[in-house]
Amino acid sequence: MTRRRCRRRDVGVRVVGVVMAMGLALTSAVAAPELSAQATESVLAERRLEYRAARDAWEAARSAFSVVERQFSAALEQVGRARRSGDDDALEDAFALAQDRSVPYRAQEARVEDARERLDEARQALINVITVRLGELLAQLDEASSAAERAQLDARWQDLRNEQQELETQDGDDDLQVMPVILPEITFDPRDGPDELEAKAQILERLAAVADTVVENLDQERETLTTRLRIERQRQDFLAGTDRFDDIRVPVVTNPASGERPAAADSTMASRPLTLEERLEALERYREQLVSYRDQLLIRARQFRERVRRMP
Amino acid sequence: MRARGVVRAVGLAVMVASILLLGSDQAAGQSHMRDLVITLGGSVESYSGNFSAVTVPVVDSTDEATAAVGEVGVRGLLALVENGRRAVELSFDGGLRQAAALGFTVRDYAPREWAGSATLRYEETLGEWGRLTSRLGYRGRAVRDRPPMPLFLQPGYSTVTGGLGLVTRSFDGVSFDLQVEGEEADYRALEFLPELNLLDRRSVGLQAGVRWGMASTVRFFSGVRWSEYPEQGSFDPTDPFRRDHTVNVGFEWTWFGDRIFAQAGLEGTLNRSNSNRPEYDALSFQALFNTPLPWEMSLNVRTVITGKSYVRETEFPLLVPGEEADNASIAYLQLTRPLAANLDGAVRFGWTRAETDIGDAYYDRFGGSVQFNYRPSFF
Repeated sequence: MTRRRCRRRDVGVRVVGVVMAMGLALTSAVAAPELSAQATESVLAERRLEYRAARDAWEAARSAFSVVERQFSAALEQVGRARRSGDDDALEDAFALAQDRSVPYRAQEARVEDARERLDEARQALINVITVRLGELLAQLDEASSAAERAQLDARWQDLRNEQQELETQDGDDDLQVMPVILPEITFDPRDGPDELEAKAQILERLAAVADTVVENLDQERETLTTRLRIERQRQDFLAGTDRFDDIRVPVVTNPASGERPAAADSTMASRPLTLEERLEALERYREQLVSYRDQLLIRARQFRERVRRMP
Repeated sequence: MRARGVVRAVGLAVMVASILLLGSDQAAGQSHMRDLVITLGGSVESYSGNFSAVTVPVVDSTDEATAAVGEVGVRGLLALVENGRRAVELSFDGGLRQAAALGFTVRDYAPREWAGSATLRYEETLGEWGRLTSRLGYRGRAVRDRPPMPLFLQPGYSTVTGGLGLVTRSFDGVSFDLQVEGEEADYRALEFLPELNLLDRRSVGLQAGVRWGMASTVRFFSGVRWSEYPEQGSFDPTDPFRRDHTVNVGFEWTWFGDRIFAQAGLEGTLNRSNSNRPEYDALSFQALFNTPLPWEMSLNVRTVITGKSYVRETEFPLLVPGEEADNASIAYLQLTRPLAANLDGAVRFGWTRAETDIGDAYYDRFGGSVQFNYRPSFF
């Protein structure tokens, strides 16, 4: 869904970029070349600033995400430890902690995706302006009055071309794709040999195994909640069936109190108690997130093993 | 009569269709249908007794009757607003029950019942202090070809209720609740049966409760209710219409386990009036039990037993026979099992008995039914 929205937004950005480039090209055709170049340089400087700001925002979002992710993975490790120790109370606490920490994890993940979309827009806008400026430089090269001026313009053209290529390369950079951060402390280090890489892959796989444990626990909880919901609904059906046609009202008290029974109060009233249906929905969302995280861990581990295989 | 039935059917269909449309996410933003159940069922009932009811239009000399009954119903819960702090819900329930009654001396009857109710409920969390709820409800029923006793069917009526409730957070494990409720009931008297108007009433009630416990909770409650019966005389020329003051005290124990739900309660009622005739003391026991069984089955049991004693001995003509028995017992047992995805099948047995000291009259009903509850998956 997000990827589709991204692509749609990319198309929009490209259309706007093309329109803007056409506008700039038209301006440069009718205005004096020096004035047009100044205007384009000014827009270029502005787009560069916007791009840098978008990049900074994206990196800040990634940093914040990495902190939350580290806390989430620490909670998962706590689940693993509690499971190994066989302490049921500690395991329950660890499951609850992991679920609590999954909420900011999800919010930060959305923030990173949002920042990534803005970065894409800013990059595309910068590429468009560079394209226009490159065209202008080519025209200026043709009209250059001296070899020195031509060399200067050529160097400028080359710099801008390199910048454009670099920006275009970043567009397909794997490092900027959907899940930008998985345990930033476990990264590829050029000094790593096969043993170190294998060890890092094993750490990731161990964490994935813990995530699997939590998923299994969630599956059990889901089954329990589903059963409870089924029984609860059957009870409601039973009560509705006896109440619907007044079969439960008999000619004893002519004015039976029909007030509903107040639901039990919660010890913390800051929010409305969740219904069974809402609890099931929340559990499903958490499970999906956890499965996705586990898959990312396994992909990352596979990437480490790939590197080991490619080593001479 | 048939035209009115058709109008009712169309009205019900329009109401259900509107609710279904409102329930779709596209049509109503964040509102969604939380539950929708369509019920089909059939039952066989047997009735016996010599209990009389002044509000039943015809009489028959038989003491025994049977009926084959078919019913269809729909109910649901539409969440209009639902967030962490507040919720607005509309619950609705409607149904049609058609019986073919046999065993009467004069003729056979084919009573048809229409019943419907809707409640709009608003709930808001008051910071860390508690929760406030308010509700407005309508309940109505209509009966065509109402048979004589012993096949007792509640007469047609419509009631409007409104209420306001407050439940506090728990203070050291104890929470408090307070409810105020008003009700107006209008019984549909036919031209040749003005006695039904005797049951018209208006009432206002107040109830306070205290509760403690988590999985196992106990709630003590007490309340008072003021009722007026504008069509019933008090036989007091200075205060001609019946006015009752009712005080009730009771407790309720609830067990909400992972698998078992159990609830039992005892409630005492003291009813005093400006008329000597309806002054009584009553004691009522209610129990509800629900547990899963093997093969995905579940067992549901519901029991209500009420005993009543009039403060003053009165003669037959002064009471409203059939609407004021001395004791009554009701028991329902149901076994439910999923038959397919979103489809449950249930077998239900029900028993009712009511007795009065006047002429040792009694009313007995026993029935067995099969029901199918379908929850459409498109919500």
